Amino acid sequence: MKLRRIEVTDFRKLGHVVIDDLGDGLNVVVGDNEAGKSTLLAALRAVLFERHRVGGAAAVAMQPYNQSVRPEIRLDFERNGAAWQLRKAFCQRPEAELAGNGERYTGDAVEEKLAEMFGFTPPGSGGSKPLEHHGVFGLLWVEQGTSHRALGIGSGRNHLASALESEVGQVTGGERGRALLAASEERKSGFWDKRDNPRGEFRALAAQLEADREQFATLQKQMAEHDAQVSRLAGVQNILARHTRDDTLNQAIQKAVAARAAAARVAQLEEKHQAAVGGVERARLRLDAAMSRNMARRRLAADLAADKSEMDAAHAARNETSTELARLDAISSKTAACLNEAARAEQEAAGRVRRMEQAIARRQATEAVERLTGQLKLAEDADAARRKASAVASATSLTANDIAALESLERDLYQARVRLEAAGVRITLHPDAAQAVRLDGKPVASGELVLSRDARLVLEGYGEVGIHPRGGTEDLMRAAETAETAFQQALRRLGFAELIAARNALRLQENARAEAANLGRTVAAVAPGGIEALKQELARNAVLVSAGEAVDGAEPGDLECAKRESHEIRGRLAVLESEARARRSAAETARRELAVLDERASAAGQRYGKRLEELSAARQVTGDQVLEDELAAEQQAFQAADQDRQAASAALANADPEAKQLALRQAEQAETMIRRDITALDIEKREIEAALRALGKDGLGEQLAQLEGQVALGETRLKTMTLEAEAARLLFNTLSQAQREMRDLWLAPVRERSAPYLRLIEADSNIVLHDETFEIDQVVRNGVAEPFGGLSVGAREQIAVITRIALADILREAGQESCIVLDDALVNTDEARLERMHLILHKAAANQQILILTCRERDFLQLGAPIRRM
Amino acid sequence: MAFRFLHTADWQIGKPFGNVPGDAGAELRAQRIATIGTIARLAATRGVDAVLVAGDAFDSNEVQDRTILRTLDALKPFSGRWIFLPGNHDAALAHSVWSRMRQMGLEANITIADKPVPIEGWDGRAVVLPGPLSRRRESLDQTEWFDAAATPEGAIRVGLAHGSVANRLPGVAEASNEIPETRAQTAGLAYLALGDWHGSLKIAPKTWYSGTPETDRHRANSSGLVHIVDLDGPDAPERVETVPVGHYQWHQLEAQLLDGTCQAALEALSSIESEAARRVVSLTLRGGVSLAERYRLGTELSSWQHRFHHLDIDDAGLFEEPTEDDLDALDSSGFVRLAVDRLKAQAGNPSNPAAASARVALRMMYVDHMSGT
Repeated sequence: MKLRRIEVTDFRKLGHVVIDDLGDGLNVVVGDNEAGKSTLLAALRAVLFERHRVGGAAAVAMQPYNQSVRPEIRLDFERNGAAWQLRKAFCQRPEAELAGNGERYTGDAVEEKLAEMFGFTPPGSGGSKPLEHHGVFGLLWVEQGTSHRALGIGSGRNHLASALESEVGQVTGGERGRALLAASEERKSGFWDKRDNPRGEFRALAAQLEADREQFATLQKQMAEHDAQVSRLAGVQNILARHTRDDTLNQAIQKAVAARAAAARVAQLEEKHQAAVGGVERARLRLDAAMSRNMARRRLAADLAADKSEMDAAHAARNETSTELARLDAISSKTAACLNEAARAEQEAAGRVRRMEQAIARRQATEAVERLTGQLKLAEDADAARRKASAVASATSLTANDIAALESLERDLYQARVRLEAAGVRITLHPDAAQAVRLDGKPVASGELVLSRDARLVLEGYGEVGIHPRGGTEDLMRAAETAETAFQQALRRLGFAELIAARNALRLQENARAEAANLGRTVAAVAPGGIEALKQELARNAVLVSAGEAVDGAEPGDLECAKRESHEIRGRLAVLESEARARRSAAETARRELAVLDERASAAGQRYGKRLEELSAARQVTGDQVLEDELAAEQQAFQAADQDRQAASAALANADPEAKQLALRQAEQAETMIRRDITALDIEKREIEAALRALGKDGLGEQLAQLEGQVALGETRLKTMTLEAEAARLLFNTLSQAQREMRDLWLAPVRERSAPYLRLIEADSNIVLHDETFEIDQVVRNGVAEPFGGLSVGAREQIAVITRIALADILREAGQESCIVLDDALVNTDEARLERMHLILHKAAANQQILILTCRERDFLQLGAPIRRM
Repeated sequence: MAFRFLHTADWQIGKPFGNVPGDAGAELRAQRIATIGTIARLAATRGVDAVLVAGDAFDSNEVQDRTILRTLDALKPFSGRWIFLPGNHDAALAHSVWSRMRQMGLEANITIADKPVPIEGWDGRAVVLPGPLSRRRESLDQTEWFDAAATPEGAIRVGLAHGSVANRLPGVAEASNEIPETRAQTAGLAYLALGDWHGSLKIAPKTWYSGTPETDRHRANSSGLVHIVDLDGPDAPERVETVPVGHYQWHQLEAQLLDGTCQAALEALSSIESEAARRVVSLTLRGGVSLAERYRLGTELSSWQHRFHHLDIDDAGLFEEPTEDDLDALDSSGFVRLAVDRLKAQAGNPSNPAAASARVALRMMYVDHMSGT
């Protein structure tokens, strides 16, 4: 289709616009902003795709703002060499008319004819939508501001697909192909996971088979153990049968019985031998007893002789000691008499010394009593005086400060009076005769009078004189009064009428205090330990004077002599005492020794007596000769018994008891062993049988056979399923590979058509469309693929325009020629690129009508295409 | 002096059928005991003197206690004598299903013939000579003693043994448990009742395998039977009646799909349509089919799997051969077609390790396509 003339009346903002003489190639329509060039495109869409009876929002949108008119559009176009005129009026009195190629349609038939001619789907009701209803025009007519977006293939896809198919043949599998691919993918994913490992039932089957094989191996092992047990059981049964057959146990029992009989015979000989040994032993004992008795008799006689000589020796020693003791006692008595004499002399000397010492002490005490009595009198007197002076001193509490304060107050008073007097009026009275003068009613003596305050002086005979001292006397007078008052108050407080009295009182007080201190020092000197201590010492000496014997006038020199004498006597006494002790000790020792010897002699006598009795008694019972005979008889009996023992021993040795014993032990052990073997075998047999019974319950053989079948079945199934799984994978891979290859083949025309245009803006680049949607997927530049959405806006609009041109080429070649309308589709393209794009548009326009709507006339002046202005 | 007995063998009670999963396997296990009940009732009905079980009554010596007890319960309808011979599966080892059975307490009418000694009774009319296996593989002939065994004058001698008859059985190369083909003759037997071969078979003069009474494998011909044997005298010829007692019928089908369709397979299955629930079927498919036919076959097989007691399919030898129609049905152009062509190329190249996967992938795509995706 080629557009030739467009006339729009009362459509939106367009009052009346005619664009005519549109040529085959490039056509530029310039309109300023708001001039309505985009409306022109809308009018084109309306006349072709909107039903003339359309109502509602679509109809309202065609009306100029706030107007109710009859939008009308006329379009002259050419298709397959035939000229057509299309006219549609909307809203009021809607009308449609299409005429050309000798045909004419009106009303709804117009829309049907248009749909048929251009292969679009008319809208059912309401306004049309480019993607759904505009067929390829949705693709080739680009509205302002959308050129850089997706192509918006929409319902144009089918046209495009059929155009491509007309070129490369039917290459897609269509819906059915996609469904087969989806089914194969689903089947494959039933067998394989994303990493191409078995999954689901396939995997489970392999796992089950593996588990069955393992279980089978386990059972086989158990079966082998079972078989081994059965073999063992057979072995045990065989041995037991042999025991029964050979009657081994009974044979052993009989052997044991015979061995026991032989052993019994040996035992009898053994007993006889033992009896003979016993006889020998008894004879030996009797012999020993006889020998012992004989020996005892001889020993007794010898002991008696020894006792006799011991007794004699004891008596001799005792007599010797007794003599020595008598001598020691005599010496001791003599020494004791000397000692008594010395002791008496010592006592006398000591008595003399003591008496002398007492006399001296009494004399000293008497002297002390006299001295202490004087001291005490002196101290007590001084202390009484001290207490009196202290009482005086403490009677008043006057201090030097008090006197100083009084003296200060007196000075203040004196000064106040002097100042008052100095300020006062000095009046000298010289009355006549007895003329009297009275001041304030009181008579005044003559002479000088000083007045410090207002006063009335009555002069007798004269009258009254008012006196008024000069200012200030009032204050001075008050000060004098105040000082007076303070002074008097201080005196009263201290209890004195005058300052002199106070001064005297202070002096008296100080004197008393000094005297008390002096007297205190006197007391301390006379009685350094205090008066009480002095009194006690006096009392003690008085006691000493009154005690003791009468003074005998001894002298100290006599005392020393007496002491020396006493000392010497005491030394002699000590020597005598030591000597007496030694003598006594010697006598005591001799006495103790005598006692011991007495005891010993007595004991020896007793022993000898007893022994003598014992021997006599024994000899009375058995005489010494009897004992000798008995010993000889026992020696003979012993020799006879020993001969008997030797005979029995020989008989026992001849019977070979060890061999008999060994034979018995062997027979008994054999019987025990065979019995034990049979019992053990029996137990083992029962145990094996029990174990086998337990195994038998589970049916090991059945399980094994069952599992064998299962494994075989599992192997078959797994083989089949493996084949299916591989087939499923192969099918999917083959289908998807085929689809990929076909897709490349399918989109080859687009690549070929776009290549010459692309070369003009970008060497070595390529456009990749989505094989289903035909939207631009990628742009490959210098071998690097970039997603369309990732390109700059300018690049996107250039690529999109080129793609549309290429698709328009394909469509045209497939007999679906259509005009391309670009409404300011290259506004984001820089100048250099724009020039290139102009070349592309020129190249495309060689075969293709292109209508450019723009507000940028300047951009297209150099395009070399006819320009129409709205 | 006639002697009538029921000859059976190879019950293999306790056989687990581990390769038949779920309830179907459990039911196969249970049926083996149920069939013993049928045998007991048959024995009672026919008034036989004895039932001789010629070995392998149990699948192993290590079956569960409950399996033994249930088997003993199943014997009860026949109160006559049961004579059990230990076979190679249940050999009379030191500990065996037989020793266990004895410990559980045996009914008086049950004889375990685990010793090579004559079994007498029946008022002296007959003597049974057993050749029990005391281990799983006996290298010595256990029937040798039959020849010299003394029996009362006029008694019918019946041999009872388990193993393979030398030189007679096809495909049996085992040297153990071998029985000479002339044993019946040399031992003067009126009948030698054998076990081990799972089909009913007269293998030598007076020498018979009864086969298993309940089929347990696809290869067993003439199984599911027992023998009712009448012996009129020591030298009289045996009269043998084979009586079917088995419940499940085992079929091994093989279908060659040569015309590109699955018709041959469906016809093979249809041929055993009656009593489908009693059939245990193994189907081996070979040949090539279109994807459309493969899809159809899958749907049909799924249906048959539900109808049969058990259907085991081996389609390793079945190849999908996509036709132009198949491929066009998937897509005539576009990437699907590209993928189909590639898969087809891989599938058609036997040296490509992914050939099998590619075939299955094509089938999968076809299934997806047919499922409406």
